[in-house]
Amino acid sequence: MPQEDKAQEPSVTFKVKAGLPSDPQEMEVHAAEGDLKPWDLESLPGFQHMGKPYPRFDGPLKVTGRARYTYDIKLPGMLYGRMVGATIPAGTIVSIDTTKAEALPGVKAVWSTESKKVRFAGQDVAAVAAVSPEVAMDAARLVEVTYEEKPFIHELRAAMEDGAPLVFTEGEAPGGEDQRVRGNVAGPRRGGRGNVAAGFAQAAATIESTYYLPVHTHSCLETHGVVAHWEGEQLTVYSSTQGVYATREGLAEALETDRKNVRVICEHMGGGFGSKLSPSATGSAFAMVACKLAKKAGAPVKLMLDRHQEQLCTGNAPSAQITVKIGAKKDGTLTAVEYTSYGSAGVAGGAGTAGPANTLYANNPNLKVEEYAVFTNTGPSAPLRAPGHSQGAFALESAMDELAEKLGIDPLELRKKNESSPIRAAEYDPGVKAIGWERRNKKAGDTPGPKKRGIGMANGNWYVFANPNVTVEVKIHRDGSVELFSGSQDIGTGFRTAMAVVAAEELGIAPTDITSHVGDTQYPQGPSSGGSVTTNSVAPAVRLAANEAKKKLFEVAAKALDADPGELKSEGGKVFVAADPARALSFKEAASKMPGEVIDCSADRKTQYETFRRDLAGTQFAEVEVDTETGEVRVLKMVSVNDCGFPVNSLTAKNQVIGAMIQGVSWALLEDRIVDPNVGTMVNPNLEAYKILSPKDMFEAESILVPQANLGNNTSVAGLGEPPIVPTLGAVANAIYNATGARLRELPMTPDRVLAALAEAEGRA
Amino acid sequence: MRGAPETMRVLRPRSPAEAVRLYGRHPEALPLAGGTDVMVSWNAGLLNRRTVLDLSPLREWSRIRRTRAGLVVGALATHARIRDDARVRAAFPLLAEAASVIGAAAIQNRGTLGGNIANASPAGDSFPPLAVYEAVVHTISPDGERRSRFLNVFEGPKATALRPAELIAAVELPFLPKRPTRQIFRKIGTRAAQALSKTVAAGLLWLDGKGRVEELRFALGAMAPTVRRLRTAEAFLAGQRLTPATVDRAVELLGEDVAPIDDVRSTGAYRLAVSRALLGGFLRG
Ligand SMILES: Cc1cc2nc3c(=O)[nH]c(=O)nc-3n(C[C@H](O)[C@H](O)[C@H](O)COP(=O)(O)OP(=O)(O)OC[C@H]3O[C@@H](n4cnc5c(N)ncnc54)[C@H](O)[C@@H]3O)c2cc1C
Repeated sequence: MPQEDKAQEPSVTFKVKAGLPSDPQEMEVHAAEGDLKPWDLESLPGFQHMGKPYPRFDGPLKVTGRARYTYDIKLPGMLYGRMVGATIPAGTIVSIDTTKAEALPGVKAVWSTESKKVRFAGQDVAAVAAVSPEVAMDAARLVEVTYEEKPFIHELRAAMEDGAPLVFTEGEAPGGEDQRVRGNVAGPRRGGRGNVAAGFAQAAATIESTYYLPVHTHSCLETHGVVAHWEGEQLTVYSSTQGVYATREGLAEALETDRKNVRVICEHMGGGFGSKLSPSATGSAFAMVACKLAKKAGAPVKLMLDRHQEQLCTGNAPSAQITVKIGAKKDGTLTAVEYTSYGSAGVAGGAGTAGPANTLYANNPNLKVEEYAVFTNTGPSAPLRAPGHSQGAFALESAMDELAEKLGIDPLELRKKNESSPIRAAEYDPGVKAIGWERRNKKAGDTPGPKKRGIGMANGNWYVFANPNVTVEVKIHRDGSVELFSGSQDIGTGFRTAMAVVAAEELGIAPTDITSHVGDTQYPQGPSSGGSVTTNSVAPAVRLAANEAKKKLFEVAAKALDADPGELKSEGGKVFVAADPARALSFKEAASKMPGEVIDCSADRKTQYETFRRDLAGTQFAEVEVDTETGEVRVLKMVSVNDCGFPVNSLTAKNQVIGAMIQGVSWALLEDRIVDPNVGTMVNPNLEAYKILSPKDMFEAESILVPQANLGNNTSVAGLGEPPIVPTLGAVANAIYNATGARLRELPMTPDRVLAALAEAEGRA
Repeated sequence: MRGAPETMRVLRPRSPAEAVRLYGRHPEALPLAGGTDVMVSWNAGLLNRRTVLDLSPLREWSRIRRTRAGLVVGALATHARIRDDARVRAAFPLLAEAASVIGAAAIQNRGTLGGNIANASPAGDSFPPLAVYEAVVHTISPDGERRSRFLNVFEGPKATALRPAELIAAVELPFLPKRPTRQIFRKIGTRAAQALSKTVAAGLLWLDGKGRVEELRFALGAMAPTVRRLRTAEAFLAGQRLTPATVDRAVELLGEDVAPIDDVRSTGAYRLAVSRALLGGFLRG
């Protein structure tokens, strides 16, 4: 998956100290003209703000309920929209009759779909806008839809069987013309290297296992939704989105209007995890519908999905059935890996899981990968925090553990032996120390009593993606106040605070002296927050814009200090002559000398350097306690070791890591979308029966960040939102094994499955 | 459709006597205590056009009183109050423990013991402790006051033997004649908080000086349409020594008194296996 960057004609060359502090490397980077010398290992000790912990600026607003989310927007005369979804999983819409709904007092506009085919329960059928949510709900119920029902298929394994009802007829399946589709199965997409048959022939030990993961939903605390407000041709949309610019583009196109007429705002948002990258959602066009209803009704329309709709049509992480075969020599050196994955993204394609298999243990010469997509009559998936990688790492890293057991090698040693990333190689030791790896059971399950503890580990990987289409604006006002503007949205990562840290480092003032404005298409363009790109795409432009502004300020200050602008430095809220710090002005005094009202600088991000590490490593350790009488699993502690270049704000960076581990543990132990095989609808489309981890289940979580220089931009920053969820499922499963000797190959690892696996393990012993 | 308050009528009695009188006049009314069950129905729009009898102003019924024979817990005592009450914790620790795992803090702050009982969920967490403590439920209606054995209050899932216009006033917990040799409360939920039980158990065991079972009381929730005492196993063990053979037999006999089902939360097989493990573990000590 690593992207190929089209480097611009390089025109500046910088000598940098790159890599890990423990293993610095002198190298040259070729940056685009006008770029700054990148922060490197030599900058690290001198940082005033970068990498220090700063509480997020919006924290007080959030904890006091004053932060305005899309859900909180209320405009005068605003109506409430409600989507009506298909109640059957497969068939044809014969008719949609909205007359009764329209006749209900308080209903102001109605929409219905033109498409006829239904492929999953919850698919958009109609919508209403009314004076209150209650009236809208009643009106939605009055929409009469007649269907011609068709046989459907609800689950991955059933969909692979011969004679299973077909989700798509020929040529309709997503994924392009040239793929092979047999029944509901598309693919394979092949990958690999070498010759696995020859590799297995050399192996002293071989294991082969099949793993299964059900569909897992994003379960964002704020559901998807918008408020659409027309003023003449001007449309303002408040949206709970991961991409205000992408939403503008999608809506302008769907509504056949110019982008200049559409403004999208997302000031605060309550979680997306990949499901809020489309203008609406992967399984619904609700945002476009809300805009149409608002236009029809001549009034603003707020349309938030409810939890039930959220679970059905806003995306999910594909289910997967993955078979891994690994061969190794006696000493643990891998000789061959064969990886076969069947994933189901519902009615969508994109159910691949082979990222980790393709990337980890790259020294293994023989790899064969086949990935299939299986269609089912369920809502389409959406990217979910490192899409496909958690599933893939669960299978691969469980299999590595099984191999270690068979070879009689410590699973950590097996991984070290086959490690191909110098970064991960440096990540093992801090993790081992933090979890106390030596405390693990030498023999799995070898502890007295019904409550057994164990420690396990797993690896994960991700990539450095960057979006160069970024502009940032920095303003220094005459009174010394500073503002920063980026269109990118803060989806909870702490983006607005992190950008102030970068600007503060460059300007020599405190992050709290800067006001960050984000999440609005009125501000300069920024990327959608997906693929862990936001921080590392925007930070380099922030630094450039701040640097431009600083240079202008130095020109003003230089006159007052009777010095040359080139001699000046700013730090600790002061502008001073570097060689003679006593000759100084406060930042405010310097600003007051400016001729006009404001120094206003914008900068575009430069392209990535061609020489940079494109992969992110990561390793994780889990300690669990298993009650062997009840099968209950409690995660006691997790340690995640990650690299993200130079962390910008260590507090929010670690927050991301800990959040990812929580989401991963929840996935590992609890989450399971259950679809009724008889009627094809979701049995648990809420948060009561679809349980996610609760605060009381919280474990001790430790995030260790290993800094590294040169991630391809002038700040040495890379993303971190996704990688730390990749190893979690496997780490927990491997810890359960170490605790009990029971191998769980199917998620979620519920108490009944734990008891069944224990019984199986006892049967073997 | 969500709850539409304008369609509803709320009766607000100021005293228990007035509550009884009002309920007598409006037997179709729905009593409201902490509302943690009622509001779920309200939210689903199931209570529109209904009359609600708001019990929350009845402070008299939220107290916990001590008598010579035991504690009398008012029907409106919240789980939080029960959880924190020193007298309950000392004499009826299994009930205090149950109160501390019902929902989470917010539910414990509002939910009441009377509401838990009247709601009659098969998975009510206070029930196994109340069953082993052999609680007596005080009810009152325009026809007068009644006292019922706790287990007799239930007729099925969500069904009680309360008569029309009858309210639960209090739950009486008789002091145990002597300290149990062993006791257990255990809730197995999907996660550590805000999860209904897959199975929930309470047990009291008295052994005599010679290690024979004087009395065993063991109750299970979420294992049958209503909470169950393991009468068969209890009777079998009375007077017996706890040997591997008698324990195994008691564990086997557990199946006589329960009939767990498969649902979204778990499977019948799991519930049975785990309940057996809990009983076995408890008996083995
Ligand atoms: C998120 C959540 C989690 C929960 N978790 C648990 C749990 O873990 N374990 C558990 O056992 N329960 C749980 N519950 C259910 C509920 O909280 C309890 O049953 C609680 O004790 C109900 O008490 P209440 O006062 O809120 O009852 P209400 O909702 O006020 O009433 C419940 C029922 O009892 C009737 N009623 C109330 N008081 C009286 C009375 N004095 N006389 C006659 N009838 C009366 C009402 O008419 C109604 O039918 C949970 C509920 C929620 C919403």
